[in-house]
Amino acid sequence: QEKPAKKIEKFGEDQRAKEWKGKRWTTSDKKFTWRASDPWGGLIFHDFLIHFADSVRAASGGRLDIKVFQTGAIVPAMETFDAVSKGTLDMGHAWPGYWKGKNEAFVAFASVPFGLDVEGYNIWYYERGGAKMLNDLYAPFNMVGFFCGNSGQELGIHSNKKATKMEDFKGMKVRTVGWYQDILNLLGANVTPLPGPEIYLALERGVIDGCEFSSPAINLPQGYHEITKFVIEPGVHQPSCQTDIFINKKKWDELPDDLKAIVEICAKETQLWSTAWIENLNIGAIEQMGKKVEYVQMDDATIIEFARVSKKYLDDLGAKSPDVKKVLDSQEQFKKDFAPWRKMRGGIAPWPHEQLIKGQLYQ
Amino acid sequence: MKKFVRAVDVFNEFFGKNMALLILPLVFVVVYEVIARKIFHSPTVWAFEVTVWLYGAHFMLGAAYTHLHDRHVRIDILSQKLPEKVQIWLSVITFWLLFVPFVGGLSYAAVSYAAHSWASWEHSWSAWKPPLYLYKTVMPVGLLLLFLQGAANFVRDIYRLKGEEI
Amino acid sequence: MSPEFVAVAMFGTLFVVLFMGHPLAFSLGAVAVLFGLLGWGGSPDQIFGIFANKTYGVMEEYVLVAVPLFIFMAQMLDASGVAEKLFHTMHVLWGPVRGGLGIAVILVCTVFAASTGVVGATEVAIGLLAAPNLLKRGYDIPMTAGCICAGGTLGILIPPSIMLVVYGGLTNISVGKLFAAAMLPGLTLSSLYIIYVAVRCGLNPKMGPPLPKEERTQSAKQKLGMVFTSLIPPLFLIFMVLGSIVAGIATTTEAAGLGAIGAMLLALAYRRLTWAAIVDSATATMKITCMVMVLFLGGNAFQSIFMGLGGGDAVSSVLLGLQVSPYVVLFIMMGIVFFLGMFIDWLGILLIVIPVFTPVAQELGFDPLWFGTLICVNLQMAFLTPPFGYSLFYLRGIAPPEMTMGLIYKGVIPFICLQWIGLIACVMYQPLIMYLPTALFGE
Ligand code: NA
Ligand code: NA
Repeated sequence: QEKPAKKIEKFGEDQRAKEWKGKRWTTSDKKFTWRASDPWGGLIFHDFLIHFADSVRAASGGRLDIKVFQTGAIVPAMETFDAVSKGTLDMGHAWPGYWKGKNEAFVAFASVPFGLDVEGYNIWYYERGGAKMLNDLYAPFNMVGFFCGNSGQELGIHSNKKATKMEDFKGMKVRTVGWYQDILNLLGANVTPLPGPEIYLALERGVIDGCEFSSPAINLPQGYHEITKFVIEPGVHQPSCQTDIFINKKKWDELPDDLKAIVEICAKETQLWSTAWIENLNIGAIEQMGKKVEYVQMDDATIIEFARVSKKYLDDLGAKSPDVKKVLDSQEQFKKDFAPWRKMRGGIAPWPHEQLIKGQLYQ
Repeated sequence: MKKFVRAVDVFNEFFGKNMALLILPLVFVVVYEVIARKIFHSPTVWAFEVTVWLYGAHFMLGAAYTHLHDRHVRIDILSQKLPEKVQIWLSVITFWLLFVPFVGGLSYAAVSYAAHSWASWEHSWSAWKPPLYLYKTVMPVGLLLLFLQGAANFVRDIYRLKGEEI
Repeated sequence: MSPEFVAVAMFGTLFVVLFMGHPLAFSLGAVAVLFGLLGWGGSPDQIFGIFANKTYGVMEEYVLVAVPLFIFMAQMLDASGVAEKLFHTMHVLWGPVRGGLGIAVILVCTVFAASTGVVGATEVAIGLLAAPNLLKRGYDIPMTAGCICAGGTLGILIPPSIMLVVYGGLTNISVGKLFAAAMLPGLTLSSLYIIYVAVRCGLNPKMGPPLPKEERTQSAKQKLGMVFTSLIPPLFLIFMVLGSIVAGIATTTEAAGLGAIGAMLLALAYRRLTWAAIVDSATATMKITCMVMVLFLGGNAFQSIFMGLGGGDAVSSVLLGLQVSPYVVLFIMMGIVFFLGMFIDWLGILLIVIPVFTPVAQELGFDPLWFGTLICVNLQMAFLTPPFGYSLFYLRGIAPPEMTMGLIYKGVIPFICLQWIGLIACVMYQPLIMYLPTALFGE
């Protein structure tokens, strides 16, 4: 009789369990107070930071008190990075893509056109070395960073022009940020880099034809849907919008191990909560917007052309910057490795039963 | 020391007058962008940042010139009523008490701020990506000139206490 | 340091230091340095680091690019001599009425207010023409001074206005909406001034007599021609600036640039566009711009330390802790702005109070746009209230010797009362502020 194949005892291992096995945790009465800020202004990304600070306060019993300042109260929005790097602020929260000028690779941790979605970022960051790469990137600036909140798939372009085919985008005046600026320019659009408060008026008065901003729940209070006719889907520029906290290295090193663990866990908790919170808000947001705008879909050929130009652009970028190449290659490798399972499991999506029975099966 | 005062005065007068003309390219770039966008339907990638840079350079590099001409607004309703000698003494004291801590400290921080930018060859995050370290250097240059002008005014005051005008 | 102590001590120190006569910008900054070193709990490097970050933040603020552009526009307009022609026309038109020349001054100021964004240049230009003219015709000195100061100040309320640009930059409210919101309050003040002059001089012609008969020689047709030709240049500028914003041709910053080109074109049309005139305008622009922007650096430093040490929270918790109607808190805030206006200029006040007051106003449920416009209407008074008032200084700088500071003070008091009336009207009847932005830009 043939011997049965050896049964695998356990497939996989939690690295942290290994790390923390037998670790003796101690605690002390020493209190730490951090000053934190962000570039968010009134956007609900600011709530990510509040949520994180509250979680840390609760988990540490108030031993680590993170005081969150209004955007701009201590330093201007876009100076948060420099301020934390220099130790003026102890901690910041932002979309890493804002630090494109410091190192192009930060954008890869924020949003990549046709890049990682929420699930992708989570797998890649927590299990495939993304966390270490982020810290390597912050190290020369005297900081440590942790993913801390993802607002998911972004809405497409709010527009007064119904652009669904490639030729519609030629010469279209669009406001966007990050790598998508270059990509849209390569595609023949005209990108205008307007600052936040100028967008509304520029859009309303026709200075620009369209703008992308963020997820539905975040766009809704901006009121772009009140002054435009269309939303052009899908938002290929940001399959998800990842944010992070960054902490001054000296302040981080001062923390005892238990508080360090608390910071890390609370960042992860915020990452989890943010998705649940925003995606639930998005339900109402697209419904409200839908009363004012028409959602239109780019055709497949156009999306393919966008993807083609994006790939070319990202390859060129990687050729110029080894830091970018390292991160993007790692993310792309994940996408490749994950592809078979993605395809296999991708069959059935959790549509409501009625829709499933009527034949709507796939994501 | 008199030479120092005169040199600073002359330089800041000359430099400031020339920097004042930055307003002309500023006007033209802004208008050019409107025309490019509205008439030729092709906005530039650079106008936005060039506009901001010209504006920033214009006021940072003019701070010393404005101080030379004593145009930074001051509340002198009380001090004006004092005897001239007391006014000069007040001016000497406030130089050390107010001007040096703020403008001196800020100049020092600005040097380090710009140096950080040079160290990482920082570029703008826009599509045009101009080198930010160049623009950030404007800050220490403007502030150091302002500090020099303050110092020159201080030396001038010392001479005035001795009854000499420079 | 407790936040309450910070709030009191920082303002206390500022008030002492203020009167030493050193430039306000550096005084604000020095107080920030002192309290930063005492209270922040870090190295001096960190404190100065904040100031460097703040300074770069100002250098990066696209909205503020409009400031030098509007100032340059006013300087070029001044060089073009457009004001003289308009004043001459209004003079002829309104001369026959009691107080007519005073009304003419305010009308000219209102038209110029709608074409430029600052106070200085136009007030000086109009003051130079009007002061000797009115006094020669037997106008009361205080009445003359009041008309010129109050009228000249309208330039920074009626859009375009660098004050509104700065307010938008500080609070992230759209400048276009602020422009729309300030229009009716500005025109209301202007109307109040005109009514006051007409009534006061109507009752007492000694304050502002009509022109003697022999000076009224122009026919109706001639007058119409004068109105037509003298109004075209300012209307052209209004079209360039406000028109381009409303028509969607330009952002507010770009509109300021169009205004600057427009003013240069007017100077060219009047054959005054010499290289010397351009250089003069440019250097004058630089002095005013730098004064404004450097004040920003000091004000920002003060503000970040004040907020960072919890001073802002202390003030707002006191204001919000008063168990009274929101309108009483509003009145207290307006009173504080008015009080500060006696000693500090508009920008210093904005820099100090905005971060403290706007969250309070929001908490009380006031619309940010409405509240912001109210502050800007209030700041009209800062230009006129003694002892420190820009408009007073500008006038004093060009006034004939018999127009003493005391008489100027006396002349502006009725106008300050009118400004309070205008302010109260904006509170009592909110559409005065909110109607235009809603109509033009939606809700
Ligand atoms: Na105006
Ligand atoms: Na005043």
